[in-house]
Amino acid sequence: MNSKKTLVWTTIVLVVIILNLPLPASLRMKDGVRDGLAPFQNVMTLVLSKGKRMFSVVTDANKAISDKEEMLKEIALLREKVRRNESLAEENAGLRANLRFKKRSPHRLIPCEVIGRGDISSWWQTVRLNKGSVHGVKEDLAVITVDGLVGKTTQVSRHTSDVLLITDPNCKVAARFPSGGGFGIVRGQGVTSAEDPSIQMLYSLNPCRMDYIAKTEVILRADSVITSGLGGTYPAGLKVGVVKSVEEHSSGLYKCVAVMPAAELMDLKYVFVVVKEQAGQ
Amino acid sequence: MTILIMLFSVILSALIQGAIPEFTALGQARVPLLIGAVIYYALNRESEHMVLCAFLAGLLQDGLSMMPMGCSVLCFCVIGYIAGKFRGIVDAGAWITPVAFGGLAAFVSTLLFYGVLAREGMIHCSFWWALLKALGAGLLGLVSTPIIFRILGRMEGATLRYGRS
Repeated sequence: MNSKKTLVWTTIVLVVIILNLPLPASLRMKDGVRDGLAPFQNVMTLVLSKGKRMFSVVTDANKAISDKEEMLKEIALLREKVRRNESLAEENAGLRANLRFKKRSPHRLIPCEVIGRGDISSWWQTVRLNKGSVHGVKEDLAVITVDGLVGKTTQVSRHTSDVLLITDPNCKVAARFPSGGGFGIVRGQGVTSAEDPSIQMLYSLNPCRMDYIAKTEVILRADSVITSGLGGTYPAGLKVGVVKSVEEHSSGLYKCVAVMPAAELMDLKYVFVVVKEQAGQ
Repeated sequence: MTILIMLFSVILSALIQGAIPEFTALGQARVPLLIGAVIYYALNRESEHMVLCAFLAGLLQDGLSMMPMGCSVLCFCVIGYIAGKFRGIVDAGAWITPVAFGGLAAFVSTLLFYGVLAREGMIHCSFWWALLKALGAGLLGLVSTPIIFRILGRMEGATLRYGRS
């Protein structure tokens, strides 16, 4: 009975200590956990993607067997070979495009690989990158792909960094239309259903929304939305997405626009962290 | 050996929980494997094991997410402590026990996290969305916790047999 009491009190004391750790100590603790598990996370992602590929091969083969068993064994083999070649070619093309993009970009970019998808607690929409502070990544830097803006870095450890996606409600981007020049704020709709609890919202068909656009602004469907550079986090001119629909806010004070992100956020493999150039550099 | 199995299972649970995509239709809930492991140790082992498991699971969840350090530790310890109160009262071997406890624990922990994070202004989502997420987590907990019970039970059984021989 006595030892149980001791255990309860020790637990309470430890929890209180952890909850009240000074911020640097808490961050160091976090970094330790993340850096320690980063290689395993990388392996887990690799295993899952291989498993996914294997599963798709099996289902394809099963479908084929139901048609003509003998012939389709050979076809499955050929398909697998073609698929392998295609995926290699696709990867090759992707890497070449990334390389060209890096050379062409006016910003200094740090190429990173995505090693983890999503926040383990499921409250934030994030991805984890394989580069951290030792590679020059800092907090609040824009993250992009060849197609457009992905989000911004939030928590950076020595060897990993977390990126808050633009579809997360905590991520706000100062944006504008390149055509007319109207300004607004793009905000993720990923988990909020406060204003539109429709089934559309549940499936995130409108992952982002741009608010506070002047009513006089003429906006058309498929217009591009780019970063305005205001606020300092995101450099000006990065493509955020395209306009999906336009409506007036219920207050009648400004226009709102549903925005489809330009970057394929569901299938991120390689991204770039945009490093802010210091004055004089 | 129990400690080693616990370490292995909690780390693996954290990695799998992070790797499995969230279910959008269930409020973007993730499969609650870590809380499942805590419930297993709360209902099947001594309090010391439950506390250690809750601590480890909480530290991993906090470390790998944007949660403030200690938030999940506290939540898992509280839920493990409450579940541990039922050890000896409920039959941990019955199929309904992990189903009920896993579902309930996942539901309650999600709502607890919502309360803490929303109060701190760290998340911006409505209560209804959080409720949907909690229900989703509960549903996933109903399914995943019996599997965790089975796997951990088998692993511990196998090491026990190996130790005897």
